[in-house]
Amino acid sequence: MRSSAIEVDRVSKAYRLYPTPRHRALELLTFGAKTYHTNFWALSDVSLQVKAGATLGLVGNNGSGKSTLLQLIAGIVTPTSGHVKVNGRISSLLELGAGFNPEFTGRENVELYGVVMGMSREETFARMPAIQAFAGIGEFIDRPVKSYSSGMFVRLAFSAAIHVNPDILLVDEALAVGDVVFQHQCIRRIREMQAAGTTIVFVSHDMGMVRSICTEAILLEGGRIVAHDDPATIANIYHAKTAGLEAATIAPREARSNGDGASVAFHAEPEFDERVRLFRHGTGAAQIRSVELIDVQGRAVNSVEFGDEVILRVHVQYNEDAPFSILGFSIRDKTGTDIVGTNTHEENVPLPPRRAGDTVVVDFRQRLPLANGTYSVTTALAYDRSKPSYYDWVDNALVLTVLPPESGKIVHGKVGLPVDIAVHVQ
Amino acid sequence: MLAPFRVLVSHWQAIQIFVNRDIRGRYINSALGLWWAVIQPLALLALYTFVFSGIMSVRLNGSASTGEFALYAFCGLLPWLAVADALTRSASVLFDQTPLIKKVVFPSEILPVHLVLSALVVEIVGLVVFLAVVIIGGRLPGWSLLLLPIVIALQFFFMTGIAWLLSTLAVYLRDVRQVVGLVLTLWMFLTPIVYPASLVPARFKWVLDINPMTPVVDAYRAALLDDQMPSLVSLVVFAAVAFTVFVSGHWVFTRSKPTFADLL
Repeated sequence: MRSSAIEVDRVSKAYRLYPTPRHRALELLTFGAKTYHTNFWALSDVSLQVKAGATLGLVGNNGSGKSTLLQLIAGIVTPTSGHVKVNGRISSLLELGAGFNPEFTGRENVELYGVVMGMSREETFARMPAIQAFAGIGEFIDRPVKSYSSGMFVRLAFSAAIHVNPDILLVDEALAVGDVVFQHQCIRRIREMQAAGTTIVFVSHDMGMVRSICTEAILLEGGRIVAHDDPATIANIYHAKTAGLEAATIAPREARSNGDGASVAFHAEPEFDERVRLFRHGTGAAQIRSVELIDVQGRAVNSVEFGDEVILRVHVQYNEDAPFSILGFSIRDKTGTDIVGTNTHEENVPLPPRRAGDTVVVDFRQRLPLANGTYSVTTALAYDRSKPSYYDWVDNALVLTVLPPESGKIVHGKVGLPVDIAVHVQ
Repeated sequence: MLAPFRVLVSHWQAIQIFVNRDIRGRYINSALGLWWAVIQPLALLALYTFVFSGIMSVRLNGSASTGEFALYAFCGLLPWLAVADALTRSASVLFDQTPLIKKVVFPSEILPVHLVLSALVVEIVGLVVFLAVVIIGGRLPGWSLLLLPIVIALQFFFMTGIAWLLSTLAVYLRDVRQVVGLVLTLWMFLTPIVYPASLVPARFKWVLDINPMTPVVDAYRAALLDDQMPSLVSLVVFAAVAFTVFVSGHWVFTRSKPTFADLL
């Protein structure tokens, strides 16, 4: 087996941007004697090697160059400078069902797809039963694709793409679609391909997926590789970056050891106000000035492992006298459903009366046995227990990621509660 | 030089599937389905007979029958409609198939090819219908008919070359799509399709002489209507033009291909 499946050598990619199509025509008609374009560098000086059989995760924000890199490796886009060398047959899942024609049946579309991917008709026919079985869309295979639900479309397209038996599989966020059962099916298939020695390059925003599937990962930022490391490290750096914090490498904050309130110092963050400007409402007589997530060692974090104990720390500043106030929070999943939450009134921990200029820092310490995924934290400060009336209400005060348990245990549903199982063998 | 021919051989299966899909795509949701390939030329022929003979009573020189002109015009239209269809569509084919070009490693040079083949298949169905009508009308085609496949093959190389050129140009200059329709209309009127070449004044004769479609249209008529050998000299010239266009079209297309994904 060859040692490296993909070699990317100092590759840069520029896209020419023209003010209007007319400028493009002018430049073309003058044979480039006059230039009107500006270059947009989607990738700058990227080098990497992927060993045969490895699974590389590409991580980064939108526009960081992940998809361009994938297209370059696939050979769809040619680099402006540098070289890309690939050993083996590539199947690219950059867009599910690219080239599928809605008027034709699933079978006909799969047939075309196979030939487009470089298989012979006979090979495609031979794989049809496997493709059908994996897609699991039954008799719909012989109906026009336009009659499919979006789920069926995705199943068929994905099934067709992975049955090409490539040496190298390029996947661009394609796994983020489909229902849970199908996602598991896909992941199982990907593991099979890994076991069979397929090299995989995988773009995802889902750090849980990156951690569980990839053998190494790259973080891209502004078209450059900023880190190339093991998936867990990359996931942490990425989380830290997305939250604008260097949390992964941050030194423990000794001064703010958790537990007794005496050593917890109030602090306001101007960036916090700026970030939540659009997500807040309330009278403003008191304001939430900063929200942090702190692990048991006292380090600021924004990702926690399933079931880890963490502290949600809220810094409040009073601008007017407030004899009575309630501070609460709610943790919401991606769909905006409240998963857990409580407040100082419910928990019988009343906040003391405060005067204008006073501050208070409240720690909510608890375990978060949540399914892996991204969650947002809403915090609110109320002044009347009988009706909803708020000094300050802040949505998206914090975004946190819950990582799957290291043990590999799968969390079914949204929350994993402790359970005792007794087996009575009869 | 051989590269464009190799495209046809190495991607033959994919081309076949694309052609098949395109032809069925033309009629897929109509109740009469593929019968339209037969009905359309028949209806067109009836229409021409009605307009040119019934209303305008156009006579071909030396011919007593007015019905003759409809056959004459239809004969010229057969190859022309194929050319117009394939070239019009070639200006937008890369845009229509953008996902294939941007998201899949795909031999995009077969896209213009499949349009040409698809247009030619439709033309051949029309040709068969035309022959049937002529034979039912009591006129048996002669041996010169056997030359027609060669003419159609040359037509394929000519059309494919232009289709490669146009599809490439359209990516850089989207205005090409607008221009193609106009140029094709002009081109049609510069070709003796709905008028006999003999009507053209001597000082404009050179236009027909440099028009590569003139020998094509003439060859169809010679084979289908007159049972004469088409002019071999003009066919050889057309063959030279066709292969030159074919090879250079392929060269331009493959040279520009790496930039398609960026520009679409």
